[in-house]
Amino acid sequence: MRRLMQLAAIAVALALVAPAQVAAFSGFGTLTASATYGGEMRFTVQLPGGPPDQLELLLRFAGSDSTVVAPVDPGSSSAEYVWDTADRHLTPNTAIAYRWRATSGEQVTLSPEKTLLYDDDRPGLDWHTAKIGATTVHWYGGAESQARHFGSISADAAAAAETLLGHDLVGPIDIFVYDSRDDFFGALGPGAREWTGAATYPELRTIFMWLGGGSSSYLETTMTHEVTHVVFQDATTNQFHDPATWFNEGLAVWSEEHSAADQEGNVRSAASEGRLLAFGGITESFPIGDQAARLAYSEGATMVAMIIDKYGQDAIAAIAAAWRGGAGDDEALEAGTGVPVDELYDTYFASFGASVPTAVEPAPILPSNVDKPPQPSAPAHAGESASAVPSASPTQQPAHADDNGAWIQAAIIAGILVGVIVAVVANRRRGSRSA
Amino acid sequence: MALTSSLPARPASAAGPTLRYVGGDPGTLDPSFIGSAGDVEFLLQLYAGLTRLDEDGKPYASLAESWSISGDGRTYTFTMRPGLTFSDGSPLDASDVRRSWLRVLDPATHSTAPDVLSIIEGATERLAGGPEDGVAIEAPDARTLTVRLKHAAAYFTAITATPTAFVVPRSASGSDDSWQSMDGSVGSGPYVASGRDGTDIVLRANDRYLAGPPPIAEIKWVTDLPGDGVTAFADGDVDLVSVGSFDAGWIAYDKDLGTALHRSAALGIQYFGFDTTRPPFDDARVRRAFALALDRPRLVTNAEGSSGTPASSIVPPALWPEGMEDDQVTDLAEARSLLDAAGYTDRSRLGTITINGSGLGVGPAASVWKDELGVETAIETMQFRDYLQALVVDPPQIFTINWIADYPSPYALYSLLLLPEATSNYGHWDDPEFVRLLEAASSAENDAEQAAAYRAVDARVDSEAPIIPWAYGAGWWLVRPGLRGLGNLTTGLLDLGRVSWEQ
Repeated sequence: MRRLMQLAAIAVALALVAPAQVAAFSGFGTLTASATYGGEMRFTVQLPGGPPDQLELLLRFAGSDSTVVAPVDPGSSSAEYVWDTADRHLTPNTAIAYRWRATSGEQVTLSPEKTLLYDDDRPGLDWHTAKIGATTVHWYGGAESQARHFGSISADAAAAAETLLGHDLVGPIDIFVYDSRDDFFGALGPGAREWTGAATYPELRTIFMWLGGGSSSYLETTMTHEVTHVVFQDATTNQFHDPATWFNEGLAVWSEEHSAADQEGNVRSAASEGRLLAFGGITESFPIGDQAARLAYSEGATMVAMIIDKYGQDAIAAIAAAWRGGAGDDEALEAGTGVPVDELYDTYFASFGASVPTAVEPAPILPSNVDKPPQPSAPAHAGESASAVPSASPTQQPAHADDNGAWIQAAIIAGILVGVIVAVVANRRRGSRSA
Repeated sequence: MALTSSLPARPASAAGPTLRYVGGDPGTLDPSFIGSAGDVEFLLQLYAGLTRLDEDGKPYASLAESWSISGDGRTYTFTMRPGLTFSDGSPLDASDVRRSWLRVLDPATHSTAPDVLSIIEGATERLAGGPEDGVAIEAPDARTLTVRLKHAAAYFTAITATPTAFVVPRSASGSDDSWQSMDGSVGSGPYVASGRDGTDIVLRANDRYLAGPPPIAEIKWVTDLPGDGVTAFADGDVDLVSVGSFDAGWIAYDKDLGTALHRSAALGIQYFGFDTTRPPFDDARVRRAFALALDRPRLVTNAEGSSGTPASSIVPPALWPEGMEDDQVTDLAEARSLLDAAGYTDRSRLGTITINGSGLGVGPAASVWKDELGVETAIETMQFRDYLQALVVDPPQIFTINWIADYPSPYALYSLLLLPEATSNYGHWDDPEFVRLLEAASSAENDAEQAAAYRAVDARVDSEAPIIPWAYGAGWWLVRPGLRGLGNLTTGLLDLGRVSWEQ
């Protein structure tokens, strides 16, 4: 009996102790975050009362409307999330708002929101800053005078673009001036073109430039170009549509000199050689080849020039306003110019003695001439058999390039979840202009 | 980059030169664990099934020599070809097909796409932990395989052509993984993985392939490029590569590359799904309201550009039955009315609706729901791996995802994504009327009856709105002149065993 009492006492004791061993989540303690450029971002949180059932880190990047959710092992008294930025590149000067979300049963608890700036803190980059108008210019080493000069240029360019687009900047612009090529490309991360001399990230309101990327005058016009992109972003931002690349780039090129006269020769040359690109072909992205890419810039700039000359500067502001309101490209162009877009294109190409370019006809792909193994004479239906007979000779008829609709009737695809690739598309669409 | 050079056909030789295809690194060599469209493309080259799909997407006899179908359409009896072997010379017979399929259905295997075979009687029960001998697959002798289906399905010979139903060697049932070695895979498809050349995977013709060794003796399966695919193609470094729609736009006007640009049919679907198990989306009126608010022809065209076209069904047009039409409807007044009727006149009672997914459609849709319906929304994204896990464990209120059909029938997508027991029915929609209509469509005895039945299925999905179709995808490819047999450049049809260089 005494032994039973002892066991009962132990059981009661264990029951009393148990809740303390499985501590309940009681709220968040200290939140910390740190970052090393090109290394990692590390977020930690204290869980003084114990872990919740589920813990997530919520990250909101500057310029994005969505929140990145990272599931985190709740651990015990603290939890940590590490973003390996060596593997998942992040552009410097990205501001990140972060908070933690704990879920225990039906109870959801949010921590206070804090911010972290992922900046370029590589050794040897002793950054200095100066504020010039709406621009904050950053430099290191002995580049102060040049940096201040570019800051001044950018302030003027922003003011000019605001006037042209009929829209004010919605926030400041940061310009980072790099003295060395390696430092510069280290900031841009993988995928940067080797001839890049400057790059803009409008969603971060940030421009990166390399002092060795070209002559002084070249860099000055490039700065004007890049700042125009930021103002254009502010003037056209909407949830529904990315404005045509050719217009965005064309406006930036036009803004360099407030003229596209220098670009006309390139377009004339292409017209004479039958190389012109339809604007529909340079709406989402520009060609990869240098010659074709330059032509795309030239066509965009000369089209913007034509719109300004023919329909006035107000047309540009009206086009931007239409995009800001969610219009598609055709609608926006018509809203600004008052003419249907086909007429606009006709007029443009006619001014270079050309007609609207047409797409190249794809070469037909001939059907397979590889024999199948012997096949049943006819497909089996319910209550029937299908027996094998030698296959017929393969057809020699070429496939018609446009007959997808006919022969795809029974098309099969191996069914599989397709990874979300649209982010890649979006990134390409946001691609910055390179000097 | 040599964009100004022309694109000559590759020089011909007896077997033709090596074909260099940018296929990406496959995630698996095991057909049970397909995880991406790239896996499908790769495994199509290494394995075979009872049937195979030609470049028109039509099934043809592969490992099977012939088959018969019972009068009720539910029992298939396949006769295997005589003398079949795997690429290592080991015999392949009906028992291997049975073993391979039971392996997929074994819950201990944790196959990634077992639902493909769930039409087989006893398969669903087996996946839920039921007995193996309850699965109606029999191999009474080496050349005979009988399969009993839950209901008639004229498309079953297309299911047997999907990679998940491909046959794996006997060692796959043990612990020896050497059959799926990149240095010497064992399968029964046209090619064998034979090592790597740098980052390229080398595929060599399978001399024991049942249709004979393919004409192209070697394929370099390119997994990594120093730059982009367009440049690699223009420079002559690769012969076949898919390209983004954003590049297809300008390539179409490029005198050299334009002739090599080909568009593949839109057979994928991007859609919004609802968690139908919890308020507010357990109410069909709320789901329908969210669907009716979206003017997809306008929103999709503006948001997706040339990468997608507005969708009105979860089934892409190429698979539509006769008489099915684009019936997308936008009715903001009705949408608001439905929310009112569902008890959400005060929209704040809906709380903040969380939409998880990173598709381009999320931003526009969230804006419309906020601006036109007065619904507060929050957009969340996750890394894809975490997202897939979340879809299974704790689906968001609204999620977005892309799928491509497994086989050429509307049933493929309806069953995969919306049947109650389907693992990819992330929203857990459970509608007996839909199940009844879908089974009727699957069992229909003639084309006209089947088309009408599928139209009824689609109408049911429209009215109950467990999902909102958003966009049909499109694909673009650069194809080296001189390659033939690439008919339909679509995932699941890229059978390089039927491709050759024009002599």
